[in-house]
Amino acid sequence: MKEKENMSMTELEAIALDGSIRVPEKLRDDIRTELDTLAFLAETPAARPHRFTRIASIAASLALVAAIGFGVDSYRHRPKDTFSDPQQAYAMLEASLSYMSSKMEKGMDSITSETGAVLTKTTEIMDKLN
Amino acid sequence: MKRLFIIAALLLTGIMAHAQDSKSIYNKFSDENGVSAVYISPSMFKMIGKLPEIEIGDYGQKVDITPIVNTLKGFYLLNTSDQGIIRRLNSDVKSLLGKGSYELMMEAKQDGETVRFYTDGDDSIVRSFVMMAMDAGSATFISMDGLINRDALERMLANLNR
Repeated sequence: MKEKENMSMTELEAIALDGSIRVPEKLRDDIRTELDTLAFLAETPAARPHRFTRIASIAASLALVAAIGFGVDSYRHRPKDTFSDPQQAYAMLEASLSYMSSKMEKGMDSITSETGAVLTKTTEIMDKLN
Repeated sequence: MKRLFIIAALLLTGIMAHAQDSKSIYNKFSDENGVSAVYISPSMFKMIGKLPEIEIGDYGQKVDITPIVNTLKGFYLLNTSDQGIIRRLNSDVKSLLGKGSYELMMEAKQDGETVRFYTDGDDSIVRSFVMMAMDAGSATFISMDGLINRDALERMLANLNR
């Protein structure tokens, strides 16, 4: 018989298709075991996602959807400029900054007067002690 | 996997951070009856920054506000005399100031009026400046967002009315 290493693919296929040739029982079991092992190894963790990974993916997807939704919502509800003329906007800004400045100045004045009162009181006490 | 978590966490953090800000307060109250509202957008600030003269000052001393204007990203002003709105506005502003990293910059009480200034940022940059002024009859909320130089802002506010 011709050595199987020297056979062509056509000859090998012809032998494989020949139903009269019986595969030894042990070889059949060995082939099955080998195929099952290969199939098991093929099911790697990457192919079968871990439950934790799946939950994380869902959470990330939901966060992404929420972020996109929020972005769209924010874009739709952005305030409209009160002024179309920059001069008017500038005048408003000037008035507002002056208003804030005056309030801050009042605060500084009250701090100064309070500090002055405390200092006067302290000086009086020190004078009495001396 | 870690990257996925970081992205999800960042997205959620962003959503939470934006849940209550000056813009949302402005959007909530600006259309209500009895509320005066002013909003200046970043693009309008760009146009203001291009104006030829941008100095202000009532007492002879002109103050250059260009460095501030060029860094502003939003200006929000709400004013109302409606007591119900004042209560709700005050509550929302407290919520805004409580959730963020705002610090009380100054508080002034005079003639029944309380004015508080808050800033959010670090030693050199102010990301948000909030002023809330309240008296028996009215309330004013002003907020400026951006990347404002703290020294320039404080100098400007201190010098404008001197």
